[in-house]
Amino acid sequence: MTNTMTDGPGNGAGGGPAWTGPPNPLEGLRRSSDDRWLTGVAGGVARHFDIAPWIVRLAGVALAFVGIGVPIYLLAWILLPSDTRPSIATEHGWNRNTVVAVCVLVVVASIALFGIDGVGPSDHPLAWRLLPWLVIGAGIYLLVKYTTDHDQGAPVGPADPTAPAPPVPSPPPSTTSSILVDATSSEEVSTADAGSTDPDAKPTTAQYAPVPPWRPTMTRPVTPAKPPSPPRPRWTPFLTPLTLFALIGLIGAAVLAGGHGWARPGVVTAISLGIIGTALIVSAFIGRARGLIALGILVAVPLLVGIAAGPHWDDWHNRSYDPSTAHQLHRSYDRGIGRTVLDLRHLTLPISHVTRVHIDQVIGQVVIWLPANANTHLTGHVTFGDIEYDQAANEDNGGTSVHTNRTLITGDGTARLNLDLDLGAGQIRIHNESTRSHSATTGGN
Amino acid sequence: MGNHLQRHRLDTVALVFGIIFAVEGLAALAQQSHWMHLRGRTWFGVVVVAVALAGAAAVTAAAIRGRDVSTTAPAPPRATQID
Repeated sequence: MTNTMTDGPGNGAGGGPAWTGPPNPLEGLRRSSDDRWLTGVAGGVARHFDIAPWIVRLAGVALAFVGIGVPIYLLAWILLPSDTRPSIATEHGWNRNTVVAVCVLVVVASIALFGIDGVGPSDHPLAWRLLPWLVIGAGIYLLVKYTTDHDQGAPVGPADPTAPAPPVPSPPPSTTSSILVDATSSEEVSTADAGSTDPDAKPTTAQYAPVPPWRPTMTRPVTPAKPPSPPRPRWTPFLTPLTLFALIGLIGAAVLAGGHGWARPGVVTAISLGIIGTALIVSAFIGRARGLIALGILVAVPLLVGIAAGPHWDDWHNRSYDPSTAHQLHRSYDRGIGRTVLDLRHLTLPISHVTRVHIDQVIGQVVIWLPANANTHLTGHVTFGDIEYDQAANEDNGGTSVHTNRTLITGDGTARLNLDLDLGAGQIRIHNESTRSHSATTGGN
Repeated sequence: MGNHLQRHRLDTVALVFGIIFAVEGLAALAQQSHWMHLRGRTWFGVVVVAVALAGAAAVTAAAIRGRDVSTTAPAPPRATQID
């Protein structure tokens, strides 16, 4: 068995030596066909190293919790042959570069999902960390599908020397050869030439044979039998892999950048959609990349929904604000998804004018701690959810389009604060340490 | 390149989706970068504009490609008259 990469040029799809199996140190390692739970990797490893399979499986589960087990398992599944079949990479004709690229992508996605010390944000929501896996999964699916379709029309190998020679097409007839059609010659029949002895005799009209209407002598070119057209050169796929690699690189860079600034999910998703669109436009003229349409829809739908929900929908972090002066207090807090805590208990507000604060959040919980000394006028609206106050624990303010309009006085109430809260879905919770009085209207559907 | 482009058939579906995705991606990028402020109805308007642009581009490209094909295609064989 040859377990090394062959050096023959152009053996694999896309050029480069084809992947034929793992390198020499792992020679003989195969996925087990009879001792398998999922793909037979653990059974094959146990058999190869002559240890109990349950130990390998237990170690795999432990490594999966750590994070490194998942990429190792995936790579083993892709690269190792089984007892009865070649490896997935070999079966689909991946070349060495493709195998290396897949390995790198799996490792990058693993870092994005699990993170390592100092690399990969550990506080990102699981959905964001799963995004690279979704893209990579789509990419591997397209790669497998494309290479499968690609190979179906490809020549399998060198011609069998024992096979009968294909019929040699007869040379096409020369285009100069022509078939005479309707070559009707009108032969004049003259009585003078037909045995008349009187040289002076004039021929009469009746003596002539009727002249057929003139018809040109036509030659119709004969369409030569077309020789069998040579097989069209196989179209090397480049747009789809190029696009996928660009997306993976973008997402990986964004994850490594920490998901802030340009690397926010919204920006990355928008750039990804632009890349996919550009690749599709190019593919309309050169090559084919229709698989990117499905990927584009997958990316576009959450982007459309998110942007329609609010400008900061991609802010998925839990945030807490604890301003102590009016200067530290923002006039507006625009949030996406998560929990927002605005603790105003240590805030000293100016007495001379009204301070206005607006909080706009898409989904999650907004928690407000009222200032210790202020006359707070609070208006709030929740499209889907509820609004709760400490003073009205038994009040049911949940439902759709819940709104509130209250004035709460804490301390001597000399400072004036207007709070305007707008939440798409979730809960607004108002806390205060000492409220002297409040007047309120709250309702919902 | 030119011959290749002439031989390649225009993929209108990919062109339409590509333009829609490209326009939406640019608009979303502008939104996320605070160059524009799109919400709800205006964002829906962007989608409609993207679809309209894609349709117009597809029709235009198909017409241009059709004209190119008609001007570059070989003339059909004609009968030769022998006098």
